[in-house]
Amino acid sequence: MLEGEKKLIEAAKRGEKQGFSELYNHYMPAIYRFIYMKVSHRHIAEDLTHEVFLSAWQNLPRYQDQGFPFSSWLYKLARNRVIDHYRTAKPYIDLESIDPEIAEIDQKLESALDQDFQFQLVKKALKNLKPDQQDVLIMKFIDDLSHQEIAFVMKKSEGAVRLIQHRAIQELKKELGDNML
Amino acid sequence: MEEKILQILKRGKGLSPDSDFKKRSYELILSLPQKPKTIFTFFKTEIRENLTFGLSLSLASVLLIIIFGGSFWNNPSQNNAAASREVVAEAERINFDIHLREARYFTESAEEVAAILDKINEPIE
Repeated sequence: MLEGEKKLIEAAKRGEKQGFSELYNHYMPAIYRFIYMKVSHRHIAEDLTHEVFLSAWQNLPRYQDQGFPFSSWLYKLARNRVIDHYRTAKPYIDLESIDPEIAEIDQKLESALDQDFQFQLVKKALKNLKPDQQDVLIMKFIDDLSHQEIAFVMKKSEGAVRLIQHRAIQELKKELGDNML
Repeated sequence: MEEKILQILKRGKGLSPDSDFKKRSYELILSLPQKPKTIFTFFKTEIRENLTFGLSLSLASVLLIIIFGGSFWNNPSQNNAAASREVVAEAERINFDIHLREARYFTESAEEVAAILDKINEPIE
């Protein structure tokens, strides 16, 4: 939780840009990571992250503190935005149909992590899990959220979250099979 | 294996958004106005915030009084006891009436019998 978060939220609720700025700088990378892991595409992740924070800024006057970090609310917005994205997703574009020059530019944009073969394998396997299982693993192991926070975001009990996590890891092991040996 | 998978997954912490995008997005967001609070939001937030602990406690007390008070008056054993007491009282009243009637009867009939006996005992002239 960000230091002095409640004051920053109150300031942002009054429309003060400074308050929102600190919240944005602190939470935006984590929300971006969460979305990127779900959509596996840098530009789509950027667009969705932008929409999440735009929605947060516009709806801040209606935000109610329920005793959880502000990030929980942002994760809820992000989850819903990703669900909407997949609901209205355009048909898949085959890689071969993309202009080679554009593909080359995209490759240059890839980070070192994108070149990490093992990470790509795990990310690919993660995509084959159920959405809830993906969410729990990303929030727990990449964004370091507590089980309590994850439970609040997902509107489930802590016990249910732990169970989803356990099953997700088993599924992930099964998906990866011998690739990780 | 599980540990290894999680270690690889944790490498995802290194993912970060492009700094140009971060700046551009921030400026774009703040160029747009916030949505104002609606009346519904006002009721939802203000009333909830002003509902202090004391008020909730007094509301809870009133609720408890209603629940226990209601159960006291609707208690079947209490009702049965009251009903049986009434029946006994009524029965006693009936008995009392019967006794009074019997006493009156005996008083009247005794006088009549005495008069008849007197007539019988009168010497025949």
